[in-house]
Amino acid sequence: MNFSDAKIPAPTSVYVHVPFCRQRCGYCNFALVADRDYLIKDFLTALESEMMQYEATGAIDTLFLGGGTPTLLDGDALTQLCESIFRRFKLRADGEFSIEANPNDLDSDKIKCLRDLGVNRLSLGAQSFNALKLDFLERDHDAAQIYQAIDLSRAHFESISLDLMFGVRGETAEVWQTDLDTAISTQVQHISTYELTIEKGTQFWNRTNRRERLKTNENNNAKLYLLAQERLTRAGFHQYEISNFAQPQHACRHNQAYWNGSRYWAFGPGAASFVGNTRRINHAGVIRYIRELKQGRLPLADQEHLTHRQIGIDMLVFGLRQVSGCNLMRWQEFSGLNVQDLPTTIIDRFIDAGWISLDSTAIRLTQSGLLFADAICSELFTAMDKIRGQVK
Amino acid sequence: MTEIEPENIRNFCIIAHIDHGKSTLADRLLEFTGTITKREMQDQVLDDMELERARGITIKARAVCMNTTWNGRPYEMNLIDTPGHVDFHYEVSRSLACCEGALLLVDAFQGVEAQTVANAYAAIDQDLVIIPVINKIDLKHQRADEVAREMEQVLGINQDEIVRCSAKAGIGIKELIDAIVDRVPPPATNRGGDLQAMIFDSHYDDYRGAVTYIRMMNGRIEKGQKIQFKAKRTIYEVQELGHFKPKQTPRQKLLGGQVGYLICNIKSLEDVQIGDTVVRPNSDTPALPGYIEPKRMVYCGLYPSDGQDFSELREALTKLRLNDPSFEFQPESSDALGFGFRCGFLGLLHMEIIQQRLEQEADIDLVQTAPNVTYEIVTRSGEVLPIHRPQEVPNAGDIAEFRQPMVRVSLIQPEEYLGAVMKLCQERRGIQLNTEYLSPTRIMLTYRMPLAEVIYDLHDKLKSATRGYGTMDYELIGYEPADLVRIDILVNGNRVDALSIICNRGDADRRGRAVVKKLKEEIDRHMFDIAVQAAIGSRVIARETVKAYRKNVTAKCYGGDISRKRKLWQKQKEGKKRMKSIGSVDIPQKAFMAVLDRGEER
Repeated sequence: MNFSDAKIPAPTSVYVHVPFCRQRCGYCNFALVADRDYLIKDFLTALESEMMQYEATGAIDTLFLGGGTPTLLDGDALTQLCESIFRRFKLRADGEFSIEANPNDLDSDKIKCLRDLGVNRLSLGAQSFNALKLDFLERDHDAAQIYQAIDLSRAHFESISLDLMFGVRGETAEVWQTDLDTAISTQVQHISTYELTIEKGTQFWNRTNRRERLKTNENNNAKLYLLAQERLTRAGFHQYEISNFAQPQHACRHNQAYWNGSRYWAFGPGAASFVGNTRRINHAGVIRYIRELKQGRLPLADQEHLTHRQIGIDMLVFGLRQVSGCNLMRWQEFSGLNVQDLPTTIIDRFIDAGWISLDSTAIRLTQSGLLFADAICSELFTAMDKIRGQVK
Repeated sequence: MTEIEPENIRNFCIIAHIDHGKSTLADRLLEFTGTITKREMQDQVLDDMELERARGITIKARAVCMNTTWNGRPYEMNLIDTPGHVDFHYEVSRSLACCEGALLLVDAFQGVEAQTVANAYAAIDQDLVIIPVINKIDLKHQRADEVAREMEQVLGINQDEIVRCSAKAGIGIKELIDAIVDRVPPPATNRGGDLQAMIFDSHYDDYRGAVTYIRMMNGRIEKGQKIQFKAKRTIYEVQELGHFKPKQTPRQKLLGGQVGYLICNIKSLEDVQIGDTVVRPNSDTPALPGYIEPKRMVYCGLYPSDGQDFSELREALTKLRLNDPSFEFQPESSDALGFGFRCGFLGLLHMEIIQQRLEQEADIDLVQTAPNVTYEIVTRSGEVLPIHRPQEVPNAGDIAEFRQPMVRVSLIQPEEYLGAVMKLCQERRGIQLNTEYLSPTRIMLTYRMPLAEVIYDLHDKLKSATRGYGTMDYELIGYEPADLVRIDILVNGNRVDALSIICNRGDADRRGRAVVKKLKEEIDRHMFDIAVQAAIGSRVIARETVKAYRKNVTAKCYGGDISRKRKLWQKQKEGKKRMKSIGSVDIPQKAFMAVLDRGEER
């Protein structure tokens, strides 16, 4: 197949990073500033100018306001933010508009404001219902506030999603099952389950370096992960990605765009975009982000122009995160590669191990393969990258 | 230009420990004799290889000719630079054979070091006139008087003969040149006699081939004449000859007593053997004494890592050998590593240099097996087999005697570290031969020890046991029978030949345990458990397991995570470059060095 046949889709998603929080939690390494709300005004100006510089515009299918805590912004600021986005982009009628929220930021006024702005999907950073776990994670809300936020929001949004975290020090299957069952009982449409990861640049990282143990062991984590699959599936949730579960028709389309190799704009500190053949990532520092834009420069920390082959590799390894796998038709269409380009030896090894299944329509991870997603994807990435004879 | 008379020639070298200021002194001599001006002076003129700079060691000898008028008379002074490191012992001995005198340079603070002693004895053995020099007398913490007593004590030097100088500050240089002129005897030569010259070094010029460094013993050579290398029996026509001043400066002829170079369209340095004698073609002039074939003491396997080309590696090795014939290589194959090369080196430093040059100059990712010394086995049938790699050790039943190379090690350190150093040597099966006080606070210990115990890390260990104050040197004293065994390493039941080691039977359990433990750390987790075992014959002496993944998901992966992950994987890919898949187990380069672990770390 000729590489010039590969299609480059137009961006259909927009991510906007709102880097403000009341406080920084111990596990968090996102681009944000805590308790510096006076920067909000400059941030909104900078954001607007970033979108202008790209002359980014068009109709989009999904919009995601992440953070940070976008709901920390008051109604006026949120309105200003959305107005500047909608000046450039038009969300299609059936579009998905998600916002991340902290349970204790939501009152009926805020909810009404969000709904008026067009938000139809709310992602609540619940993390847990267990008081000890919330305390350990340094969250500033309690279980009652989660229930309250859900009750207030339920009537106003099509989807509500809960983030839950597992694998914190001392967490048993009982503790985790209670969290899962409680989440199920709130009748939200979507649940994301994340294993606690200790990222560089966090308090937890420093504590781990001082030999403090913050996570449960690998064995236990595997058990907790399987438990989540079991409880959520039994409750009618469909696992569509390694850490995402949804009731039918409630999968997050925005996140799916990341895994399918679709193109997306991204604005704000630390935001990562993929437009045309280029991946860009912004400076994570909020002040730096604002300053660069004030001086008329793009706040880029890094950018990389990808070959079709690299795009194909990305589509494959990130597509595999989805339970439906990487669709081979689509993959060939958008990367210009074909099935012969797959690293057969390694794939056969994974197939023999029962970790991967491959048929004429898709390559996907099996149930046991899901547990080793990172090792599998990293090996495929390395092996694909190695194959020579690439067309220039 | 008039011919310089032999009585106006002085050929000498400088013997010094690393950092004692040899290069600076050489620079100063060049400057004082007007050979180069201060403006032309590039720091440390004599050490011009990039690697040498990085290591601060003069790896290859060079020679420079200084013409000067001193006290109203013309002189030609030839400074022959000598490598300081023990790996290049033979080269040192050949350089010394070309001199009549040696400056014995000692740092006014550091004092006499092991290497200095070894090389000074070598110079005394060759009947060179020694001019003792204490350098860096301008240092704040200099202890020149004490160092002078040390020199007297260890080397039998008369304190009155010592020249005190500071090469850096230019103090005492004139006095030193006086001493060279007055004390170093002129070369004894018969210029009317038959041509006889010693090859003491060479270097490779990409455009002109080998440049051969010679010291004229007798007779003369002129441009365009034919010459013969005695040992190699090869005949060449001299295309160019001359002196290094320090740049190559062509001349019409070289006469008895002089030092210079020859260019004869020689394609490879392999054809220029250090220690060989240059004569007229087919003359019966005898060869100069002392020539030996370079002897490789350390061997290791070099393999292209996965996805790299065997023939590219061969090409790179061939090219390197043009420059450095003292290293040798031959193709070998390993069950575990596939096709590669067994390479022989003069010593461990030499090995590291070659390896670095391969990676820097040829951009090849290598997998290197742990270095080993050359053993000897006497079989039941009385045959003596050299063993360059552990795989070659025959079955225990066929071995009548297992021999290993032994060395005499000299270690010099302040008295307070005596206990630590003695312990270090005993752990390495050293037998103490001698203890000598160099001064009231510095002691020289002499041990007899297996070479294998010395080369890997004794120097590093000595440095850490003595806070950097200890120095050592060693010389080979021959082969001795020992109770040696081969330890095999099995990965998931498969013997990995490239991981086998030879060690003393008494140390086998400890070494075996240490090696498998280290391998467990170096081998990444896989999809399955990996058993790592050490065995002697069929008896397993140690075992560890690299556990399979239980789970390996990183929880979330959205826009920014994708970028981060790609970067991470790209980095991991770099790390995987130097990796070998054995069976279905990926073994990283570092694991092949794990077999050097001795299990001493607490």
